[in-house]
Amino acid sequence: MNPDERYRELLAKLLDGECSDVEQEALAALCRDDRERRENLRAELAFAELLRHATAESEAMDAAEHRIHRSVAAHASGEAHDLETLATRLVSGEAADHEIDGLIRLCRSDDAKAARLRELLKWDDLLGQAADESRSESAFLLSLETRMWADQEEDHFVEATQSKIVSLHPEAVQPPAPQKPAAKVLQFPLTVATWATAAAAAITVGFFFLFSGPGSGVATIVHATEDARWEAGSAPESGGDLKAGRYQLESGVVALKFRNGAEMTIEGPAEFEVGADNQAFVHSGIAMLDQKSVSPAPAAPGDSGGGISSKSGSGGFTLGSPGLNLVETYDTVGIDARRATSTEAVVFNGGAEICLPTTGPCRNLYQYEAVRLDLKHDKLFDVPYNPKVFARSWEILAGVERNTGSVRIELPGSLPERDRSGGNEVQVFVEKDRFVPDREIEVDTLDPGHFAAAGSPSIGRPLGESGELRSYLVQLWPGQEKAGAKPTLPLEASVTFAHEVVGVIFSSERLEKSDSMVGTEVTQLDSSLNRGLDVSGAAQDSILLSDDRRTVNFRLHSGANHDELDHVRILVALR
Amino acid sequence: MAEPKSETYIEYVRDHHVGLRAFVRSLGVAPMWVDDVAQEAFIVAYDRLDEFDETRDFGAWVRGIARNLVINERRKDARRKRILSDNLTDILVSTSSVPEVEKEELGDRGAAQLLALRQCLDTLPEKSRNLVVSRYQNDASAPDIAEKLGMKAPAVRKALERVRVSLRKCMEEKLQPATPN
Repeated sequence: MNPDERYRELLAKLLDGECSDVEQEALAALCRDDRERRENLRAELAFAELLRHATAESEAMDAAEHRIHRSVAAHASGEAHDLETLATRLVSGEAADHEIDGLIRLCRSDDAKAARLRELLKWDDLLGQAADESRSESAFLLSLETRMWADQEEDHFVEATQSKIVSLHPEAVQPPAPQKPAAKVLQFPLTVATWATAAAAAITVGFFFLFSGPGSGVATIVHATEDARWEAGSAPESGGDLKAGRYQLESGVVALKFRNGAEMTIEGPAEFEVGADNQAFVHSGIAMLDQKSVSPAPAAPGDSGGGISSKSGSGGFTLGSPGLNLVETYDTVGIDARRATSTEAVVFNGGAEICLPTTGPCRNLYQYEAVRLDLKHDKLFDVPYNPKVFARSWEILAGVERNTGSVRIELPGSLPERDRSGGNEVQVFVEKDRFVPDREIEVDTLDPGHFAAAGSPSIGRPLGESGELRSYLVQLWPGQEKAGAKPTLPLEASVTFAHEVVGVIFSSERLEKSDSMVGTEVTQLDSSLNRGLDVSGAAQDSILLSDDRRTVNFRLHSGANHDELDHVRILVALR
Repeated sequence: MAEPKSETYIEYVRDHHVGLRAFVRSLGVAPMWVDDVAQEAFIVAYDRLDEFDETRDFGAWVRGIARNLVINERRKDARRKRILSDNLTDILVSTSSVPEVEKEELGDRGAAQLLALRQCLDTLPEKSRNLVVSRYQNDASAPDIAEKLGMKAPAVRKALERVRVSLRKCMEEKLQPATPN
């Protein structure tokens, strides 16, 4: 291709908005020493801009003209223009521009009508608050909390809000409890045999682990919650393979694994499509995409953290939704498309490029950022990061399931010191994902089926070669007991991990030693706190690991001393 | 000892958020942005809490802040506005009472109203409740609801209107002070 042909080809691409960075460089090079081409390029760009303006003006003119015509026509045809009818159209979101104009005329001429309209709007909002759980007091306060956190950082308002919410609405803070079979309500301590049976039941009944491997479909169901139900005629094939196509999930949460290793959860009610080439489209419902396992690679030696994951997974997965697409996604992102009028996109870890198919431009979104698209008006807004709606999906992606007791699987971005629960529940944080230790980690000895208790000397051992790891931090914050009060009963809890537990650290000294390697900002705690399992009078903290090394049982005392913090670090092998 | 600022503030928020949200909506803010604007008002109020005279009504004060935020929406470019229409908001703001008097019109009875309304919702027949949930929880339009429930859109609008009227009557009855026998 001669230079002139190449120039014309690149110019056409530029004008069509399809010129890559490399091609733009090439175009610049072709114009650099050729005055005629430079002038032609300038003229073409100027004309393109003129065209853009002309089109926009013409659209605006058309819209204004149409609006005036519509208003006149409405008057002429005797269409309803009484306040009640128009206000009803407005509150139901169906008022056209000329109807809003009608309302304005009515209110402008009569203050009483304006007051009536305000009253109707107020009433409609009250109805919304009463009927819509997502607008409940706890949801409002939690969202406000996140904004205050973002605005104020270390402000105590956050803690105060959190503790108030915990005490007023414990159900709101805790993710919805999974349906648990009675067999899983275990009494502590258990005999080894009982425990092994119970742990097996916990795994079998809690989730359907359908490791059917890649079949003919583009994705496979790897997890499904007990309440997962598909719409009739819209279910995947038996065996859990999903071919490219559209599916409807009536309820529950399912996790899909795509051929490139990306994992996506869908929470019903949802309607979605999966396609070949790493694509999914969520028409409605909640979806969370995790790509950390797409390009698993060990952390570089000396890279001791600072982020949640040591290596970003980038599968170039495209997650579409009404009005906006997430492209070039990496690590963990989410889409909330439950509403007909808006779609929200959230980045938990990593990042994504947000693109609006209708208007074209894309922008980047990074960790703990969220945007909301107003579908009616095609407006994109930054909104506070508030991941609570993804709690159920996160439980699956985090690879840890609550069995018994009061346990909360903390969402990305939650920090131990900020989310203190006042000794009422065990919190589980995902600390660091997909890393290979660059030096030896010393763990405490905890043989499956045997108790480890605080107070008894804990013998350490090197973890040894375990491949890629994920670390979890289990926490019970000190209680709020007053001096002289009766000690509270121990808090018993049990969690099951999706991967084998290869190391447990519960002594204060080893926790601190391992912080720099496996902990992240999650464990930037007040140094005056006494971590690890502890002895509080006659009460001893203790833990038990099941025979299959998947389930850990805790009996922890929140203690009367406010500096006694129970911490247990769990290391699982992701092999 | 004085209660920490944040502790007191939480109580303020809990006491006033229902009424404030309804107030924000009554000024023509688009439904999906009502909570957003209300939260912004609470954040501004928190930042300026030192300026708040505790002998005055907090609800009126924070409504004044919200009112200013809504007025400011008019100055934003079209893509970032959170209101339905500039002119409509203009009228609704200018004809609304000044915040100090607003208490009487909109009141701080929001929490009580909400509680009564929830109780009324629980008594609705299933079909009516489904209509309300579709409209208010799922944000569905009348045509969408009609398609889902096998009805015609005008019938859905009429039914919704009837439900709204009955709910309002029910709520007001519940809020009536008990008359001594």
